[in-house]
Amino acid sequence: MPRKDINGNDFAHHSDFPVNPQVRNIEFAAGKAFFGKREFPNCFLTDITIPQVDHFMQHPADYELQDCHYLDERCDYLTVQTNGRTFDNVIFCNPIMIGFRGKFETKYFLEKVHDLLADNGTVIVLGSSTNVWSKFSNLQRYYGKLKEENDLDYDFEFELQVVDANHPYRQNHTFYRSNLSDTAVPNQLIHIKKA
Amino acid sequence: MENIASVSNALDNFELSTDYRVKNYVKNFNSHVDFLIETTSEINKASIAKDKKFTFTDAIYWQCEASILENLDDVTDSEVLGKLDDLEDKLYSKLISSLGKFYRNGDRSWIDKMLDMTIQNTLLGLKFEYFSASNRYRNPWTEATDILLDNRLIYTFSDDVDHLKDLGLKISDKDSNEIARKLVGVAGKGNKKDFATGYFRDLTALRNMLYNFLESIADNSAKAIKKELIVKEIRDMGVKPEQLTDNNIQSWLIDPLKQTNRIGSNKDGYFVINTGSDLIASYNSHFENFKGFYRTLERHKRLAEKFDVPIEKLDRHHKFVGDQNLNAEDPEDSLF
Repeated sequence: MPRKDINGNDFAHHSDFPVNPQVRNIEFAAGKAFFGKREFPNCFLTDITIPQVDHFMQHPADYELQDCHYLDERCDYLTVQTNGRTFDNVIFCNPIMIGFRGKFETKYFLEKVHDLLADNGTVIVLGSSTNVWSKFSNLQRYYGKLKEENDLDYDFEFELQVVDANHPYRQNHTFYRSNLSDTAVPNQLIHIKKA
Repeated sequence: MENIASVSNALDNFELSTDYRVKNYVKNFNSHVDFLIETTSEINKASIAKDKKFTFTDAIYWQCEASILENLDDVTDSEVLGKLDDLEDKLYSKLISSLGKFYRNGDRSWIDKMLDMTIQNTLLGLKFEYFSASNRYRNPWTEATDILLDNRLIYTFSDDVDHLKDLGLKISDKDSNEIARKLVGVAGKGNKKDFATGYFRDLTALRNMLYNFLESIADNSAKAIKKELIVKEIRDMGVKPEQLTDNNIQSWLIDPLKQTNRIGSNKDGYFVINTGSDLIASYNSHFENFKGFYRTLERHKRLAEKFDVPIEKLDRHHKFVGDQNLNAEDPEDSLF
């Protein structure tokens, strides 16, 4: 039986990136996972590389049994062009290569957030407190440094939630690392909003 | 491995390099990648690079880092974390200052990427020593730290060598065969307008094939096999001498397997370390070599007066051994 989103609908493939105005959410660096499609219906799933497995639409009847990916578009977060359109939710699930691994990575991440996020929108970063790309303490520290040094033109607000083993995200998903034999265990959920 | 205070002190008189002729930074980055993969494999108790089709990618690099940190990083000591934060501030300040006009006038997006990569790797190398399980694994950031402190470069890398061509990376024509096409580009930046560029070959898959071969016929120290047989096996796999010379097989395949403790050796050849007895066999063999080198160095030292050479120039082996002992947390771990 095909996987359903949180509203009970089948997963949809959106081939009309980035124009479809009904698709208000976007996930970057999704890999083979489907976190955004399940938890934030009407979501473009994207990654900089396409996994070397079938797309889920090639197996409409039983894709949940297949090793497949759910991507709608190949793109890089920092260079993606969306022709000025914005999103209600910009999602990162166990990110690598995007995020807070250093002061300048944080600067470029937040500058892009400003471009992509609707004024009342939210960036969702789900990850481990030891993942240097997603750890909240890195975001706090580097944001403070960038503002102190006048190297970031925009203001943001952050909120941290602890994600324990009973959290629905951990109950409903297994976060495989695509190329390794282990899984990631997120314990932090960060919300970022424009101030 | 350096400690936080020694790195901080080293920064007081630190300047980035103005000489790109020595390519040691590429070798250091290659070793860093090898140890990153090896440590991840040991943590996950499965060789992530076992697949013969395995190809190193940027994503694998970052997934290995994430896996290591998620499994090992348990540092909560606020004093340690505070010292690392202070060092981080000093690193950004010192390196940007050392880049000078090449930072202010350069392509900031590339240089910022290099600064973050270099500084975070240096901090991870130091933090690793505080992980409670650090003594069970090889610190994969040691060689990355050496690129900053010894080669005096900030750096980045990419499995997409075309991506680094804008920085001046040139690929030799002779590397157009299939094996050598698996390249990883490394770009460094010192106190110069241009970039240092180089590349290394991703030979992980071939190393794994060799390891599997050794496991099948040399799975203990009593079944050690000579290099000549290893070379023959590689040739039987279809790898021609013009693609990989006998010396390349030694330095690019056999030596990295030894450096990551996957195989050992004795006077009879190479073998997989599967038991304590294999480990002792390899250790004893290397200890004999070590004693031979030590005695040679001591004999050289005795000639210092005759050739009017300052004694400290011929006493570096003692300093090296002393440093190893100082770095050993437990006196029982020291060399003597």
